[in-house]
Amino acid sequence: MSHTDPHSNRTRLIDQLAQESAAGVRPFALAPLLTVWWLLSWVFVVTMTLLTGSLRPGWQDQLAGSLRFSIETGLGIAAGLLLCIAAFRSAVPGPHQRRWTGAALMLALLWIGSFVMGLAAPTFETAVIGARPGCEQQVLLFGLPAMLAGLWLMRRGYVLNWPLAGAAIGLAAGFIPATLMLVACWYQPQHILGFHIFPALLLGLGGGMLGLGLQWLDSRRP
Amino acid sequence: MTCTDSASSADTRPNDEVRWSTWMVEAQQGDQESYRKLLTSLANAITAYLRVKFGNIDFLEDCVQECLLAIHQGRHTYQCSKPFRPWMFAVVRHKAIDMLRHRARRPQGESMDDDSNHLENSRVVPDQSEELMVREEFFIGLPNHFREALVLTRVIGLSVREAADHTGVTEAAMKVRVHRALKALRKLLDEVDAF
Repeated sequence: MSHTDPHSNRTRLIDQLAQESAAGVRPFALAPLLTVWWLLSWVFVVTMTLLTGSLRPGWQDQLAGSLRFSIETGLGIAAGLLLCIAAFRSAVPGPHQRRWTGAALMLALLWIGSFVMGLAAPTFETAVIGARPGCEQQVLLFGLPAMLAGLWLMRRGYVLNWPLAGAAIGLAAGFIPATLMLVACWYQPQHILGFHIFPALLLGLGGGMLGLGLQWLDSRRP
Repeated sequence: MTCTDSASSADTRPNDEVRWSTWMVEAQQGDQESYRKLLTSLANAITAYLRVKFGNIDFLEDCVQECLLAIHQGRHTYQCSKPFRPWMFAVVRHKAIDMLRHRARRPQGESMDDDSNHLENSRVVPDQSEELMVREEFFIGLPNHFREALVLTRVIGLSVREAADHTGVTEAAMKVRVHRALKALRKLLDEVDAF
């Protein structure tokens, strides 16, 4: 029966970790990374959207003329931004992480809820003007690189709850093309829910699954 | 204001907070001595914290060392403009719960003697769980049925089925009880003001 002194083990571990720390570390720059990801993702999605089609004719007038449409668009942008903040914040340990994600999810639900409400009383009369073929695939395809880039950047931090963080960045990435489709595709609440928001939710699910995988990878890290 | 200025001028914060923050900032710049001092001080604080929250569990030292490793791996995420303790306790809380959640059942016949800080409870039988709970003050802030579930499955090392048989509840109910106990423990670990 061999007993090892736990404190000598601890001292050895501390010595080893101190030796490893000699090179120093570059602090994780949360705000700049988050800002760069958000802006570049928008630039990427807008560019891809414009390369694959045009925006709906008269979208500027609709945005300026309808408060409700402006609120819907603003809510989409705000929900995506809050999800992005929640996701990147989760790469830095600290209190109230779940509250941030909870608040972001509430805003996302509010945004989705506005279109559910629109099923009964839509903002605009249904007109297929501006319809974009394959918009649902485009939401997935444009959001996917943004999501993967986000996960890659978040891995530079120290994420404690990967599934939640992955779902948040997946949703944030999906909400960017889904919001843009409000002006790049035809306006009809049922279509928006099924072809713009549903693929964005799928990206959230995919992000959560990837997060699970990353958690598993981290648990195997020596 | 640089990080070093901010850490040294924050004299309104508790002593530990200022020292830990200063040492961490210096450690991030590669100061080994500061890092050694930081980890030694944190190890003592984490031991005290976990002993109060968990009781005298046999894997306390493992838990402390896992927390130190996690702090090491995530040290680049500490931002000097933010308080140190919430950052550190978020890591500790996560690691401690993670260890409890994934603590596998001890294989039959394996001795616990190799465990550091062990309880000498290799002869503990489930019937003694109540006495053990009181003597070692396991998970003292939790309701009794949660404490019992954790002691049986995570300290004594019974399977969920054995723990369920012992307490006279169904296996599913025991699973739920362990899950809820871990959730309650996570909340309990949020109370770090005393440390």
